[in-house]
This record gives sequence, C-alpha cells and structure tokens, in this order.
Amino acid sequence: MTFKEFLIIFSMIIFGSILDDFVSSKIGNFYLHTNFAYLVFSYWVYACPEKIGVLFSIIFGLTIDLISGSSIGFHVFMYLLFAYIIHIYAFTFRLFSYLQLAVFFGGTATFVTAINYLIEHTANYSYANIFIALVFHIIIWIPFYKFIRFARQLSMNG
Amino acid sequence: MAIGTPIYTPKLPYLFAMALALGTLFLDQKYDYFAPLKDVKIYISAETKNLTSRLFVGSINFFDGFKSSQELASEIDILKENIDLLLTENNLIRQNIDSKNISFDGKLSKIIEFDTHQYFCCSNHRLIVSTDSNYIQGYVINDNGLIGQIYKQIGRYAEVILLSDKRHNIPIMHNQETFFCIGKGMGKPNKIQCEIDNNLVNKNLIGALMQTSGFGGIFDRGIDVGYVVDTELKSDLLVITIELIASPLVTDKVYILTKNDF
Repeated sequence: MTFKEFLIIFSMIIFGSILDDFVSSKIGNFYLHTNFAYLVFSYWVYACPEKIGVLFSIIFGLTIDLISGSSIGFHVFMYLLFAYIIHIYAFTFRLFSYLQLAVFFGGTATFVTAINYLIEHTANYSYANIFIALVFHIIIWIPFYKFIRFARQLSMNG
Repeated sequence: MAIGTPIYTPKLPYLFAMALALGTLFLDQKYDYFAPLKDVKIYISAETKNLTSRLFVGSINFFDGFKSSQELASEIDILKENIDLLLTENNLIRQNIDSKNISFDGKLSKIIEFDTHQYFCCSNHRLIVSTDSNYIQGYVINDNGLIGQIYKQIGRYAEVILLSDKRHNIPIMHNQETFFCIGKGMGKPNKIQCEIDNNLVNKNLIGALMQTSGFGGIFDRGIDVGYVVDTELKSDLLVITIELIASPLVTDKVYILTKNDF
C-alpha cells in the first residue's frame, strides 16, 4: 500500500468515526447506534484485500479504539477477525448480490456494536437497539457502498 | 466452477495478532493498563481544540484591526450592552444556583470536550474542562446544578466524571433526612439509582427530592441532586431511580467548587 492510499483509507475511517459521533449527538435520544467506521474499513478490505492485512487492521483498529474511547484492543481484535474472514472469502463475495452483501456487512457491523455493548456498556445493551442497528446498517450499506466506491475511484484515479 | 476462489491468507499472523489484541483488551479492562495512553489522547485532543479556537479568535481579531473608528465606536456600544446582559445573566445564574442549595464560590471553567456519543449510548459519561490549578477533590456544577466531580487532572485540563457515569457513586439522602443511600450512575443520561432497606420507608417516594449527604468527603451537604421518578421492590431492597436536576448538555460553562472546610 502506498502512503497516499494509506492516507485516503485512514482519513475515510476517521470520517466514518466522526460521522458516528455526529449521528449519535443528533439522534442519540432514539438510541440508534451506527458503526460507519467499521463499514468503511470492511469496504476497503472487501475492495482491496491485497492492501489491508494484519498490520493495517491493527493500525486502523487501534485508531478507532483511541478515538472512540473504547478499551484498547477491542476494535483491533474485531477488525482483525473480520479482515481475516473477508480475506478468506474475498473473491467469493464477488458472486454475491448486493442484498446478500448488505446482510453480511450490515450484520457484522451490528455484531461489532453488540459485542462492544456486551463487554463495555452492559447496562445499555438492548435487543431492540441491536435490531434497529441491524436494519439500519443493512439499509444504509448499499448507498454507503456506492458512495465510498465513487470516492475511491475519484481519489485513486484522480 | 469452484465456489471459493483460492487466495493466499496467512493464518498464523492473524491468529497471533488476535491473541495479542485479546491480551491487550484483557489488560485494559481488568487493570486499566493503558490509562496513560488514554490520558495522552485526551490531552492532545483538548490542546488541539483549544489551539484551533485560539487561532480562530486570533484571526478574527487580526481582521478587526482594519476597522474604521466609527465601526469601532459602534462595536464598543454593542459590547457595553453585552456586558450589561452578561451581568444580568450572571446574577440570574447565581440566584438559580443558590436555589439548589449550593454556596456559590466556584471557579468558572469551560467544557473543552464532551463526547455526547458516549453520553447517549454508553456507560462512560465524562467531559474535559480547562483548569488553572489542581482541583482533584473538586466537584462541578453548571447553571442547573450539580453535574459531577473531578476525576483526574491531566496537565491544564481536568476529566470530570458525571453523576450518571456507571462508575460514579455519590452519597445522597432524602431532603428530610429520613434515609441515606449511595447513588450509583446507571450509564444512562440524567439517571442514577440507589438501594435502601424497604423497611426504612413506608410512604410513596415518587417526586421526593434527594440531596447530597456530604459523607463522601467531596460534595458539600444539602446540594439538590434530583427527584425520585421510579421505585422498584427487589426482595427487601427498594431500588430508587432518580432523575438528576442538572443536565450537562445545557451549557459549556461550568463552575468547579471544593468542599467547604470548617
């Protein structure tokens, strides 16, 4: 991965994290827990599996751990786990429909959120919130995917 | 056609890195091993915000230097009006704080950072304020009343733990001193809970005012904390849910106070 590519991916993940904060501060009372940072990360692993391996998963995970204020190691572990899974099935995913991809990526984003709540914020854990997050992530994934792909094509080719 | 396309994914580095991440997570969860790293992050983040706002104000002042004397005169008039308004506002704030039983001699401070994402979704309810000295035994109020206490001093900044934080405990009492308990943060905005022996209370508590008892050594006695909004019986214990009077979201101005010594 070139330095330029690293900066692009890094800034997009930071942007995702800021978006999470923004959404939460605006509609926090509805208890919608978004995980845009993970969606951005998983998109990049899916789109360029050869570029994001162990080292970059650790760097991005650690960055999110520090920004989000969660326990150090949580996002590192989750990002490594899903980077590994996406890596194994990287080309199999190309055969999937958008709906199947949305279910997979939306589901994993919600899984990360749910585990985070179970470990760190047990008092705030709620199946209703997790379900809302799942539906939201699945719905948002296709427009989100299109947007990041457009941004990727623009930044990588531009 | 094969469903799985062959791709080289080395298993061992991933497994090793995952084990390392889990070990790190365990150390952080169990022993708060990486607290210094988080402090550095808090300090850098607060410094960056402070510097950005100073640069912004500095650039505005720079361009103000080119104004004509007539514009400056009219601006002085506006500033005078604003000072009068601030004085009135300050008096109102003092009256409001006095009505919450807080003897006002606080040091004015400003919220530098408040992670509202954590506040709404999670258990960690913290904010960062600027300080000019060490207030490690201090507590924090805003225009509405008591919001939390100083948790940690990080250079020129202090981390404030809010009353609703999952790890926060505050000794409180009924305003008629009929019972005392420890108010524990629930990790939910503006809510704390405390448990009392059900035999101690024989009346409806909904709407009762709860105040600080002063037994923790941090808060002064008799400061209004909140009103009882719900009670639940769990065997012999009565679990009381209290809605806090002061929300940390209403303003970025806070006051740091320390317990009165006699």
